Amino acid sequence: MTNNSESHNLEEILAGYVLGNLDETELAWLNEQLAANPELREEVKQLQATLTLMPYDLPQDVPESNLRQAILNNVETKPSHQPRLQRLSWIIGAVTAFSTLWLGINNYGLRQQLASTNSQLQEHQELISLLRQPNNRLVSFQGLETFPTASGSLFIAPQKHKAVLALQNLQPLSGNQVYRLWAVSQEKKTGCANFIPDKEGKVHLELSNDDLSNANYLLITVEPEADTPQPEGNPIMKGYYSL
Amino acid sequence: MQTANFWDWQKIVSLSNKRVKKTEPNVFEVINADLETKTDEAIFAAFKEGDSTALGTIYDRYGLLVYRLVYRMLNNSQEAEDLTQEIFLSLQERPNYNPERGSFYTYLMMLTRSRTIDRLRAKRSQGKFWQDVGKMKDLLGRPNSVNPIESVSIKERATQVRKALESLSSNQRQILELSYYEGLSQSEIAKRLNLPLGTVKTHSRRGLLKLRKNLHNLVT
Repeated sequence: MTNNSESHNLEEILAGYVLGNLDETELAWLNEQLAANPELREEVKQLQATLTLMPYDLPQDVPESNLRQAILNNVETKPSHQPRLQRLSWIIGAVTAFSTLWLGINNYGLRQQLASTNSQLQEHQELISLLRQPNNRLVSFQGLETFPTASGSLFIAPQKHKAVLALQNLQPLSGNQVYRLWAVSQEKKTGCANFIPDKEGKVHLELSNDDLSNANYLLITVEPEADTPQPEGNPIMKGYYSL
Repeated sequence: MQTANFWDWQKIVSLSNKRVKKTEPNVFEVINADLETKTDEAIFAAFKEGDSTALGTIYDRYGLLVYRLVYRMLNNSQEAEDLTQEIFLSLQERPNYNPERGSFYTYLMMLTRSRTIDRLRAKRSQGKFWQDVGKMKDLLGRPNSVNPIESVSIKERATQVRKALESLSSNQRQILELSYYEGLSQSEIAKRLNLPLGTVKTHSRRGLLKLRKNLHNLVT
């Protein structure tokens, strides 16, 4: 042990590690100890195992349905044996239908769970809530000649002074170049935002700009640098209000 | 500041994966010998080999504990049943358990907690509507009978765990339970209980050490 060890209580640090409440200094110190004394990992394991005993003290609740059978039914959807009795085929059919239904519901649940853990969900929910409000507008973007595959949408919620821009299939830019969104009204072009796409050519951007809802149409250009007062590059996408 | 995330099973197993020697069968296996002659680990191995009935045996041993942990964390019986099913079926889809890394029970309960925390996070972001519906359903009454055989098999351990938890100070126990069942960080607990962060950490660490001491025979 190092001199440093005097300032740390090894047992408490191990417990803190298992509980996930070490600070950086403690963690660094523990890592040194673990490297020097691999047998400490056994201690860690025992502390982990101790925590997993806590549910033994929980109230004696039981599931309302026959959970065991439900689990086994679904495990047995991948059997290696073939059904032998023809007359039971309708039962097997029913079980299969039930399983399919359950798997469908389960799959839906899993998908929901996945989606909700995805950070994009919040953005999607935001979009949905924006769409539900009256007076909101939707702009559809399509790429012009040079970027024919680029496309996307812009949702505008004027009352919230908020808009969400989503684009795809944009090409990467070099140097200081940026894409720039312009609101065009009576040939007056107002710069609204600079952005660059991610590695997949996608853009997801939240804007707060009142010029967007008052424009005749919107343009996206490639600019040599951010915040150009007037467009210097050619338009690569154009957006019209579709809602 | 949380720099070491215990609740992430992957991190835990990576820390302990250099273990080379299997310990003696733990007390769970010995106690369960009257139900099946095989150890948990052997039963899980049979399940991996395609014996789907082995999952029934695993459920008989730990199904209710898994369900109760999920139910305690989600506070909704229907969701707890669904997630319990998912957890058991995930043993088939991704049989990642490695006996070198600890007992099967520890793996199963850590998997359960980790999956339930994921669900809790999703629920928190989705609002409490369905949770409240579930609670209303629960209020309508629920059965409270336990399979007698299963009950006997866990009774002894339950008693021991209860005594061990009762030996903790009320702060130690409350903080450990908030951390384990509700997935709160130490700083969230400090805020909720209006205690300094350092105090919360000390209580939780000493509480866990005391538990380990009192439950030593169950974890070695």
